[in-house]
Amino acid sequence: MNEKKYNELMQIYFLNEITEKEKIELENYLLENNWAKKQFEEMKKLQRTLSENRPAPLSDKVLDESRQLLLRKLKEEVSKKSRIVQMADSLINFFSLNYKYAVSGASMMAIGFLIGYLFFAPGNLQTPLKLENQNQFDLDKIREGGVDISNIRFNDQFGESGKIEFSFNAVKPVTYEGNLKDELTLKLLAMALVSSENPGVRLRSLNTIASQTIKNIKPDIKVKSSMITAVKTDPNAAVRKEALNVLMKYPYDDQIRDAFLFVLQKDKNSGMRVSAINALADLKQQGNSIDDEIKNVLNKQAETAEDNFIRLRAASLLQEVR
Amino acid sequence: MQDDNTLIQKARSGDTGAFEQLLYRYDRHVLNIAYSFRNSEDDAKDIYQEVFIRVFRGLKNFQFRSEFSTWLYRITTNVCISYKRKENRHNLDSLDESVFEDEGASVKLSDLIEGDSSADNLAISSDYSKYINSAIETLPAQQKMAFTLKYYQGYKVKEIADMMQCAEGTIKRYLFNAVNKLREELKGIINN
Repeated sequence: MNEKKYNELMQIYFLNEITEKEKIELENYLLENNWAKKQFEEMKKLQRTLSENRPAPLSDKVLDESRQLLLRKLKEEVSKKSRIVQMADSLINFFSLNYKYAVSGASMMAIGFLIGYLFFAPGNLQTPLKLENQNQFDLDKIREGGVDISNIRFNDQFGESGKIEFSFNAVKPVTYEGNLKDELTLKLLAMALVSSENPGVRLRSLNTIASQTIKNIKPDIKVKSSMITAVKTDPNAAVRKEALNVLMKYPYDDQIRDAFLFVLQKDKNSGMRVSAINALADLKQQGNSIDDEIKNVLNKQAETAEDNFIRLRAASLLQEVR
Repeated sequence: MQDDNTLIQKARSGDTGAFEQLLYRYDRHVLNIAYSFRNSEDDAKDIYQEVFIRVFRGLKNFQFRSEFSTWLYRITTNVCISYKRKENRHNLDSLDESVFEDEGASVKLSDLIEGDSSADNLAISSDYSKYINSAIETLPAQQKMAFTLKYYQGYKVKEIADMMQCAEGTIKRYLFNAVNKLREELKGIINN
């Protein structure tokens, strides 16, 4: 019993949670008991072994990757949820406006027409195109070409003669193969950056542009404009950060300065604000002039920024340029 | 700097930036707890995703009865423990039966402790750390969690009790049992 008690006291000692009274009690016991002292030494070795085996913290790269993946997942979840909510709302609104009788009547009629057509139509439903139209398009060829047919609209009611007319959208995906250094490739990537709904596509476009951007390269106006739009408005922080990195490589001008100042003042993400102020500090180090506009913003940040780091950084940067 | 509660309120009303700020405040710690618990980068990444998706979904039900960080770490410990239990269910072979299966030869953990392989040999063959981790891996999930938080993350017993929603006495019991078991398992290393 005594042995168990002192074994636990030893463990509490090594957990660093022993009280002064317990410590004295343990020390006295160890002085009197050689066997217990041996146990204590063994325990000490075990503690050393375990602490030497403590895993090192994971790198920032792993953390950044995890963050990016998580933010992508969350964005997808939010947009999925909002689509469902929108659909549910519109259905509720629709039916709450006493249209339900009209809608159910119309649906029943449409179903009746369809059943009647299926039973009594003379022709076969699988011959969709009239002969005179076949010289304009061939359905098999359309399918082979990967064309996506959507939005089918009926232009006429079915007539007694069995004629039918309808229209549809045929959208063909285009595959473009070009060199990463081509202007058109970069413009297409820039277009994807500002128009794609998928943050993964935006980030990939951006990473590709970044890999082709060397320091002080003169950018295409549209590519540069896409970068500025992305850094200011993209909902994904990882995309904004990468866009900021690309802008830092471009030759400095007022547009880039305004973009940095915008991020410093307006971005909700503190990491982005820190990156923006670091970008301004880099400008100074590269010998660019820190004009009054930048000084005014820095002054304001030094006084009112929520983030301690930004307040201090702004103040020290101001001191350096004065 | 905005406090956690303000950010939670904002995040609840759809402000994703506020959620990101909360995330950046604590996620490094969550990742490191997961990593020290699993000792695997991939598992740690999986646990990270699971934890924050649960937090994101559960934020609307958060009732401010505890600190956000306490709630977050509770979720983290729960996900870690269930991750290990799930793995144990899938892994039909006992860890004691086959620890190392290099070059097709299965070696029993107990053989390594009591048998011919001395601690020096283990250290030389750089299996030393692997050996300790295998011993830690044999601990039941709750004991392993308490052990990780205390020995690798440096939390106090009271903090661990809050995270794992147990009494302090229970956490001490987990730690005593874990250390006793490790002492037994690692006798070969310690005595050499």
